[in-house]
Amino acid sequence: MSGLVSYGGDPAIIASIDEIERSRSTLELVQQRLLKEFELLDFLVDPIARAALALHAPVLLARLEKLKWAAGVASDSYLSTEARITKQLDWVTSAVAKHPWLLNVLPKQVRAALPAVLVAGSAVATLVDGKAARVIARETLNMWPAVATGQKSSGEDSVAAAGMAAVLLGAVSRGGRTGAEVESIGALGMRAAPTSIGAIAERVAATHVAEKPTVVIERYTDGKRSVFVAYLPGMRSLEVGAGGEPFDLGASVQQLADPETAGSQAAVEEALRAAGVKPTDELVVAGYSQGGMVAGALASGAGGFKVSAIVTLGAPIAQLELPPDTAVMAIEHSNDVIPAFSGAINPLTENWVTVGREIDLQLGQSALTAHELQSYVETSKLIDEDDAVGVTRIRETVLKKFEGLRLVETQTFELKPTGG
Amino acid sequence: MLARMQYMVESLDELNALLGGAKPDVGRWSGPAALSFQREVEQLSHDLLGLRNQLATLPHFAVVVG
Repeated sequence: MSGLVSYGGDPAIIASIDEIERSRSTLELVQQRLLKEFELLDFLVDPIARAALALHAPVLLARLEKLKWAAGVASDSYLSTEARITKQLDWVTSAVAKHPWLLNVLPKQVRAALPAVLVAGSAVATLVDGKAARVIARETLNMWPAVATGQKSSGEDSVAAAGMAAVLLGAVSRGGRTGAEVESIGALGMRAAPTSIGAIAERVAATHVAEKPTVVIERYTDGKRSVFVAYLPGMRSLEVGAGGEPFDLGASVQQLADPETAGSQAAVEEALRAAGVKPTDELVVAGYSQGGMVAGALASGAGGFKVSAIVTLGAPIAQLELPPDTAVMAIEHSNDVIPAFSGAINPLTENWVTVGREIDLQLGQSALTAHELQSYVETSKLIDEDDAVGVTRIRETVLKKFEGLRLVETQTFELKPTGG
Repeated sequence: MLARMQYMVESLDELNALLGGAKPDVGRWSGPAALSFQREVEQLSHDLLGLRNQLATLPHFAVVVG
């Protein structure tokens, strides 16, 4: 048994929390209006009709209540995977805020995840509007007093987090788009098109572990049209600001705050242009963590490219508004906290499948273990064997992008920031 | 008195129209659960209409106090 859990990607089953909530609110309004029909004095006029209405009303009200409950259950069951991650964060941070001493008794892996929330939360909450800011701000504000108290006794994590948050706030709040230069460092060996999601994930992993910050861009053609595929790494450095790698911690925060200002975004867009990707060329983008965020931003229109499919590994992308016809495979481990930084839940739509599993954590392991790229590569291989309707459909949609095309070029670009 | 009765019937008509708005927009929520939800809403709407028609045919009178 693979242990995979997925939702979305099936045209027969789509849902949005907003729509379910709209239905539920309408039922609530009907309930309230129905109750208003029962003013005591009204029974003096047409008492028989009023009595008849009063006889039926309890049943009607109960049925309305049942429908409201059903709407809530539907919302929960459709979207439970991502909602669970958010709830986990919420539970931990709320509990610690109320009982600071918990920080000392929480399992080590939970404590390890807290600074990550603090760092991202502090910076993003200062700079972002919208759902992401609300959720992360809440998490951060809940947690800050606890961390401030806990750091005296619980050690280095919290101290480091507070320091990093301060640096981030200063660096990111300078604003403006970080520049980027790219340099072609030659072609890797010619390869065939990937024939599985696992193979795509392996190419992403190869990019991520490259010695220099790089993106790999493949070009396929049938002689009439070109399809490009870009493989993007995740965050490679804990540095912040100009001078570091484009895929650094500062860029991760900027990706959440405003992707257009992130150095990683600028660098990837520059590499795509250097690879010859035109606005009319079909583009498929696969990325891990921050690379997945860049993929999402490209799909949402950044850079003006025609992105037809993205595959993301452990990336917070729910906050992005993606075109409904873009095929999205969001691979997210249920106990990976990084995707939860989106502050939102991936939509349950026809062309967006969210799929993942829970990673077993051993005693003493960091919660960030669930974010490790190698685990995502293994999950991606399981996805190739999965027969869930949504997973199968989006997997085939992605892989068919290369069908009948031949690989004509693989370019590797080194990414170099030029400063803010 | 008839006007008061008419008001009650119209009020139920409004409620029914409002209830119709609770049906899922199939472009944003579809699938077995949504279908089941929609059927329940439609059945409730049908029953509300039946009640409305029943009330409209009942005899009308008022209790005068004082």
